[in-house]
Amino acid sequence: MGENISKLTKACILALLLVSMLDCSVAQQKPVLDIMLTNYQYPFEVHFLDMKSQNKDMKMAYMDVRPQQPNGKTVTLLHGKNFNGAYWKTTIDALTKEGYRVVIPDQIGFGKSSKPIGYQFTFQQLAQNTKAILDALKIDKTYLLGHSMGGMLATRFTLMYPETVERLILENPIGLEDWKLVAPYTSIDINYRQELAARYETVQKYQLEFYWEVCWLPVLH
Amino acid sequence: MLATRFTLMYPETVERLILENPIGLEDWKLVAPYTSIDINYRQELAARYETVQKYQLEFYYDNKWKPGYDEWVYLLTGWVNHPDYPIVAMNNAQTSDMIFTQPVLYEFQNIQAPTLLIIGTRDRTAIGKNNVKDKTVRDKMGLYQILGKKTQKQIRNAKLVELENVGHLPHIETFERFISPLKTFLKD
Repeated sequence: MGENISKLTKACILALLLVSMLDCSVAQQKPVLDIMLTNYQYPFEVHFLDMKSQNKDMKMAYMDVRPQQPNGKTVTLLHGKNFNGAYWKTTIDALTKEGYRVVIPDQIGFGKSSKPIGYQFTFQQLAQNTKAILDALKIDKTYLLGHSMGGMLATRFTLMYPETVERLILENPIGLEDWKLVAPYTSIDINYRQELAARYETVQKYQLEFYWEVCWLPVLH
Repeated sequence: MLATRFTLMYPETVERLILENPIGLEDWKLVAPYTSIDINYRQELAARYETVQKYQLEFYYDNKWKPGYDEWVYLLTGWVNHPDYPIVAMNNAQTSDMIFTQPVLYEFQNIQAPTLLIIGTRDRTAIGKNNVKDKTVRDKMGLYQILGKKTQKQIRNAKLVELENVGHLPHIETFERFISPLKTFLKD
């Protein structure tokens, strides 16, 4: 048993070394993305809802994927902090195959949606923005799935619009504990400087440590 | 609310905490619907001397206006006809949103500093109250004769001074009854 784990660990480390060598070249070869991701193609057609929020003109991106054989139900997928709608591809495929219509917004500040300066981000605001998309699509009932930060948003959404949410699904939601009770507050300015310094390698290192623990698989890019 | 957050963040800096009719002693988002920043912004844009005075008359001063109160309405509304006022209106809407979305009451038990609560018990300030449809719920919001006592129990080392028949602004409405317990607390 111990030997097997050790073998597995060795294989992992080897794979990791190989992949991380590949990754450097991957990061350098890929084109610089613009901040609306116009030069990155999502797995399904992207629509935009024009909205005015906090007195600013905004574009909110979303995918609205219809099943071939509709079962009349809708699932709305809310992405996490370090993500956008694109990473739901396999989930969308599986759910549409089952007959669900799947709606996948990019929150303001994320993915292909507007990146406003000085926007007051609250879960209440993001819940209202998400509701605006469902309203525009005339969807009055949905199953709601939130991942990570999307889980906090899905929770707030469900509290604000209980009549809209038929079922709530939380996938590794964050905020299950109140970190401000134990961790010191880090200012937006300090976070901003860290975000400015973000590079492919540093983000990969973070995700390797916190998300995948040991093994990096190329498919997760 | 800010003094509470400050004390939680910088406990080594705050020797004593004094709260004078603080808001946020209850979590209004549990009972009142969320009002968007955009709706608050439009209301702020429409603010005029008369409307603000009417609000303060009702919520702060128990329908008894004194000439001394005019100054504080002027400071709040003197710029509404300035071309840059929309910037202030948006700031006002965003700070109202902060009050509604960032409660501090859940952390009262973590305050270490000796605390004095000065509470005018006639105060009825409650954010979002007008949007609450259920009258029985609405009538339970902003009852400072209850909230003061409740908060005193939540803070480890808190003294409560209740000022009967005083509204939201003890140090304006009844200065002597405000300053005397404050001086005593500071010297204690």
